[in-house]
Amino acid sequence: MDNDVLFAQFVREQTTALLRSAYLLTGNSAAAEDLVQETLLRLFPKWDRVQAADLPMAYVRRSLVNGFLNQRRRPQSREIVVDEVPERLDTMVSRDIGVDVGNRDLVWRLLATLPDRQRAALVMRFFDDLADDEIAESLGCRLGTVRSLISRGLSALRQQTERDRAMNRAEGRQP
Amino acid sequence: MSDDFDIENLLRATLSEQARQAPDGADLAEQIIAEADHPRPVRDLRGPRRWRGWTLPAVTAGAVAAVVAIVIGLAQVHRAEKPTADHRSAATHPHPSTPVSTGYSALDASPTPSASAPPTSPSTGLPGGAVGPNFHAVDLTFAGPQDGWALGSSGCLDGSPGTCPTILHTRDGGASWGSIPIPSAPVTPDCGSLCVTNLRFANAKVGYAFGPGALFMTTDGGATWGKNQGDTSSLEVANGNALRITGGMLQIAVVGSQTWTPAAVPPTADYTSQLVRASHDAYALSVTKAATGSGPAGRTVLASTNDGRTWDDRGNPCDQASPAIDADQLAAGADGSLTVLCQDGSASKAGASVRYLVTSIDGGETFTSPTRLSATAPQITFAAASASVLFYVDQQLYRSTNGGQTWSATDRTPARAKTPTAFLGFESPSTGRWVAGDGSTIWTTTDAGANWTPHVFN
Repeated sequence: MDNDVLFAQFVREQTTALLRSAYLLTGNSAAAEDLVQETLLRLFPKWDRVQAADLPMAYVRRSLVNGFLNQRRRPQSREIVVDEVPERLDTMVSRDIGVDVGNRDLVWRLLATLPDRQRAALVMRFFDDLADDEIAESLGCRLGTVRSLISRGLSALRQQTERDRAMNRAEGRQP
Repeated sequence: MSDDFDIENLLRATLSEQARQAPDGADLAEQIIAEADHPRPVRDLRGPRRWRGWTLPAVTAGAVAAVVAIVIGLAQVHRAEKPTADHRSAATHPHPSTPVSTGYSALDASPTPSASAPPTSPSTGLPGGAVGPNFHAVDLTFAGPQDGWALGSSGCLDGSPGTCPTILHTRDGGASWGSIPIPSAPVTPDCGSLCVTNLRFANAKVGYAFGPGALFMTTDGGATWGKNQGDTSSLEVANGNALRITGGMLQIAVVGSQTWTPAAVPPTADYTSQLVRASHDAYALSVTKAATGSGPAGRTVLASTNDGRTWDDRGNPCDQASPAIDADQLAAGADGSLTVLCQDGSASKAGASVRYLVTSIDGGETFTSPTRLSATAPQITFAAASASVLFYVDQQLYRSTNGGQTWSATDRTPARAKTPTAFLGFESPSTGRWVAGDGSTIWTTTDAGANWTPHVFN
């Protein structure tokens, strides 16, 4: 099979999965579509190299993450990061769905406030289920750096969610 | 949130839930392939927009002209057709589509397509075609919050007696439905040699219609269907791959591929009968091989956390209730949780079932203590929106918001289900669908089952 056919087959099979990872990295649909499209079209001219990789999907994912990080380094593409989450947990929890949904919403918004590499490491670990060495390869850093990124990312999420819980308790909103 | 809440699990659940908000990739994939074939500068297509001084007035003028054109166009369309809730307005676009294409009754034999033949659908319909009278759904599938498909049967639009197999498609989350072409096989809950009972779509292009006697696949959104090898009693799609059970064996394939390979299940699993998926987690219920060759074999839960590529044997989580209690039904919550309905098989035959629920939020490694379920009907349908929000149907729909500790009947819902529920499932912890009774109504909830909105056919 020639590269065009293999490329088309890969794109049809994997675009949805790549879009999900891209959505978690970028936080919005349009940016995710741009990222996936730019990644695949950038790789298309050297698709034989992608096919020769042990895991073509891992190769493409690595390129996707690199594309995300490079894009975010450009000043005009930076989103405005806020110090505090604008809404508190209790303002959005429906009584019926319960605290779970509100917590996930809070975590999702906190994730957007993390540095790009921390966010990328957390997405690769907790969504893509990649091992430390695979994440290190994707981010182009050492194993120790990956562990540190994940640890600091989790710690930031934990602190903010616990702060939110404490405020809710103090105001008697949550048992 | 409990005091010992686990940020890692919370993050996993968050990412898993948010990933489902990502757009479907089918259209983008075709766009990328077309772009690769006929390259243009990527930036021109989707890149950041930068306004120059003269651009904005020009675009504004163009936009005004476009709005005028659209208003005129819409006015002409409205004069040409009468809109209805179910796309029945298609009179101005005569879609022979599904119901017209065949006149056989649901239980009739149908032409047998060959495995190597090109797509076997009559392919005479178009997405959004008319819906025949008396549509009754037997299964539902959603690929994203807006795109959904319903498999069922309806009266034939050409006036033929009996019913015609029908697949409907919604692009607006279930508010309106139109028909698409179908495989050449009858739709019936009681399958003979070649018929379909269930439907799953991986994305807007790739879908599977299957039953104990057949598996059909489309890669063009239902315009054409081809027959795959082997029967399929259960099939689930997610994250670019499909899992199915055929002849009691678990198999895996890339979405859109006709090549199925055996999944790596533990040697203890003998015959697999149920399959559920949520995010990257998949669970199956299997009969274990009896170690001694004598005595009844037990049931075991198989779990995969990598989209079905490898599986682990989690044992029978119902053992903790009583050795006589067996795992009976699995329900995967949209948060990745697994709830198992445990039932005393021997008692159920006498109509006095003893039932318990156990739930896992760690991929089946550990389960909660058994919670007694007081449902008395011999057969119940069971579903989970999440680890805490659970449902079952016997004569009506019951809901628990505390993991099965307490239950309340949802009296704002419909009609009591006089016949077995055709479908009850959740796409996310808050959005779910219920096809009750005769299948003529699809109920939708967007608040985890507190309230339900009907879409009634006919």
